[in-house]
Amino acid sequence: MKEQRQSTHRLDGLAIAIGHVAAWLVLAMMLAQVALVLDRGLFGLGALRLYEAVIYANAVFIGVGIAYALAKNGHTRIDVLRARMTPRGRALVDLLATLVLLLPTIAVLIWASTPYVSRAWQTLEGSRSVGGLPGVFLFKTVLLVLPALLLLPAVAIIARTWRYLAAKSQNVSPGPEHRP
Amino acid sequence: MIGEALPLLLLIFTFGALLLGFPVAFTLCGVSLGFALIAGLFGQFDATLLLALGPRIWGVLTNELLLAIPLFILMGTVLDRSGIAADLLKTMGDLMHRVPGGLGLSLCVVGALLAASTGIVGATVIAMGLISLPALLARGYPAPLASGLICATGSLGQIIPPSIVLVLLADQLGAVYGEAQRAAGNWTAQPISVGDLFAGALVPGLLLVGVYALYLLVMCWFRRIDLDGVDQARAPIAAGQLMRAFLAPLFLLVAVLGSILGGVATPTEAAGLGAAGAILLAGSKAGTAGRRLVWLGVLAIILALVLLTPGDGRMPGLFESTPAAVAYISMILAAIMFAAALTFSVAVTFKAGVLVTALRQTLEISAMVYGILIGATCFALVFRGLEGDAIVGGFLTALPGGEIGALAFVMIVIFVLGFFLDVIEIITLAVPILALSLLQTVDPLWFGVLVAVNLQTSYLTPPFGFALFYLRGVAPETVRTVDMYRGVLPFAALQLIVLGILLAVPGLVTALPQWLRG
Repeated sequence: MKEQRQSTHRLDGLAIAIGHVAAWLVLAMMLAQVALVLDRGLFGLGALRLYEAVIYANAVFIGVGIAYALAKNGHTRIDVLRARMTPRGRALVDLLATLVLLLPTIAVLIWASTPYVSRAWQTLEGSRSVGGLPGVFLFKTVLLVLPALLLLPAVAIIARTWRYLAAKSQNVSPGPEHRP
Repeated sequence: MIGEALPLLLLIFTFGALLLGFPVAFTLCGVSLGFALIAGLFGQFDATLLLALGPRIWGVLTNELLLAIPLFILMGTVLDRSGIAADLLKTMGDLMHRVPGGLGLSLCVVGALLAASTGIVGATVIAMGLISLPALLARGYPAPLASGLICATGSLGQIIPPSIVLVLLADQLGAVYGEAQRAAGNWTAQPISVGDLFAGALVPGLLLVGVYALYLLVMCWFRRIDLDGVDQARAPIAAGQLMRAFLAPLFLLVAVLGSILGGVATPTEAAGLGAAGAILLAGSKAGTAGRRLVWLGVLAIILALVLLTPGDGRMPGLFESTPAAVAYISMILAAIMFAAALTFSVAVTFKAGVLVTALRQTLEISAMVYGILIGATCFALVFRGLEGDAIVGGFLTALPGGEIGALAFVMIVIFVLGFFLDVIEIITLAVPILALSLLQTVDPLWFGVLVAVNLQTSYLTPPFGFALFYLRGVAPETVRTVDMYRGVLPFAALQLIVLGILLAVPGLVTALPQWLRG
C-alpha cells in the first residue's frame, strides 16, 4: 500500500499528529486485556475498573481515529465510477460532498450528542456497576470530540479541492488518491 | 402514499450517492440525515428521533463485542508488518515442493492459515501476490488459475474464524434476532454469541478450502502443470526453520480459536491474547537469546494457567498453608517471566519500526470499520423512522415460496449487492433490514453462515471485487486484468456451489456449535 500524498494540509497534519498519539491506546488496550486474562486465570482479583477502562480507551481510540482515517484518506470509497472520473471531477465530487454531506453530518452529530453529553456532565456520571470506573462523563465527551476533530480534515478537503478547481494550471495536486 | 415511497427514495438516493465515490461512512450519515431533515420539514419524519443518535453512537463505541475488532486488526498488522506472514508463505512453498500440484496446494493451506490469522483480506492477498504469484507463474501455472487461486484463498479470512467479519455479523444478527423473536412472541430467545458463529463457520470454511484444493488438483492433472515437482537445487528445510515459520503461527492461531470455541476466553480476550502472541512471535525473531526469553515466558504462563486455579493463591490463604504459598509464588514468578517476554518483544518491535507502523495502521483500519458502523447507525435510524423496515418485511412475506422463497430472495439480493458494496457495508446496512422478518423462523446461525459464504463471492466479483484490486496493485504487468477476471470466475462458481450445499445440508453449519454446547 503506497502512500501518495504530495502536500499534507496543515489541518490534516494536526489530525494525523493527534491520531499518532491515540494509536498507542490500542497497545495499552492489548496489555490491559492480557492482564485481565491473567487475573481471571491466576489471581482472581476481579479487575472491573481495568475492564471498563479498556472499553472507554477503545471509544477514545475510535473517536480520534475517524478524523485520522479521513486525513489519511483511509475511509472506504466505492470507486466504480470514481476510477473513470478526471482529477477535476474527483475534486468537484469531494468538494460538493464535503459541503453537502460531511459538514451537515458534523453539525447533526454535535447537535444530537450535546444534550446527551451535557446530561452526563450535570450528574458527573460514573459507571453503572458498583465499584466501576468513575468519570464516565469525561469519556462520553468523545461524542463531541469526534465530530469536532472531523472538522480538521473536512476544512482541509475544502481548501485543497477549492484551490485545485480555482487554479487554471494542472500543477496543483487535488490531494491523495484512493489507495487500494 | 408519500410516506411509503420515502424509504425507497432513501435507498435509491443512498445508493446513487455511494457510487459518487465519497467515503462510505460520511455518505451514509449525510444522505440519511439530510433526508430526515427534509422529510421532517414536510411532517413525514419526527426530527427529535435524531436525538437518539448520541446514545446510539455511544453504544457502538462502547460495544464490548466490537472491542475484539481493533485487537484482531492489531494481531493482523503485526503479523504482516513483522514479516511472519511472508516467512510462512515461503517455508510452506519450500516444504510442498516435491508433491504434484504442491505449490498450488501449499497456497491453499497457507492462504487459509494466513487469512484466518490476519483476518485482513487486503494484507493476505498482497502478501501472496508478491511472494507466490511469481513462483506460481514460474512453475507453469497459467496466469488466470494462479491469480484466481490467490484471490480466492486470500479472501478466506472473512469466513475462517477468528474473523472480524464474523464478529460484526454476530453483533448485527444478535440484535436483529432478539428483535425478530420478540416480534414473534418469543421473549426468551437464546442470544447469538460470536463463539457460536465461529463454530458454525469452521466446517463451511474448511469445506471451501477443500473444494479449492480439489479443483486445483483436477486442473493440474488435466493441464499437466506442476506434476514432476522435484527440484534438486533446493536444500531440505531445517526443522528449526519449519518450527519458527510454520508451527509457531499455527500454534498461535489454534490457541486463539481454541480458547474461544472452548469457552475459556471471550472473543475480546482471545483477540487481546492473539495480538500479544503476534508481538511475542515478532520478538522471538530477534536472535537466540531473545527467542529463549520469549518461549520461556510463554511456557511459564501456559503452565501456570493450566496447573493453577485462581483459588490456589488467594492472599488470605498465603500464610495458612505451604501449597498456597508455593502456588502464589509460582503465579507471581510466571507472571513476571511472561511480562519480561512481552516487554522485550514490544521493545524489539518498537526498535525495528514494526510496532509504530502496526499501531497506526490498526488505528486507520479500525476507524474505517467503525466509521461505516456509525454511518449505518444513522442510516438505520432514519430508515426505520420512515418505517422502511415494515415495508421490507411486508414485501418479503408476500413473496411466493414462503420461508425458502424469502431466504432465496435475500441471498440473491446480498449476492447482487456484493458486486457494488463492501462486506462491512452489506453486513451493517443490508443484513439488519433483510433479516428482521426472516429470523422469526430461520435458524440465525445457519442464516449467518449462509450470508458469510455468500459475501465471500463479493471479494471476487468485478467491478468492485476488493481482492482483485489488491492483487492488481502488486501483480506483474505480464498478468493482464482480463486474466484475473477470468481466473476468479471458477472460484466464485465454487463458492456458489458450496452455498448450495450448505442450503441443502444445514447440519454442516449447526452440528459443531450444538456439539460444543453439549
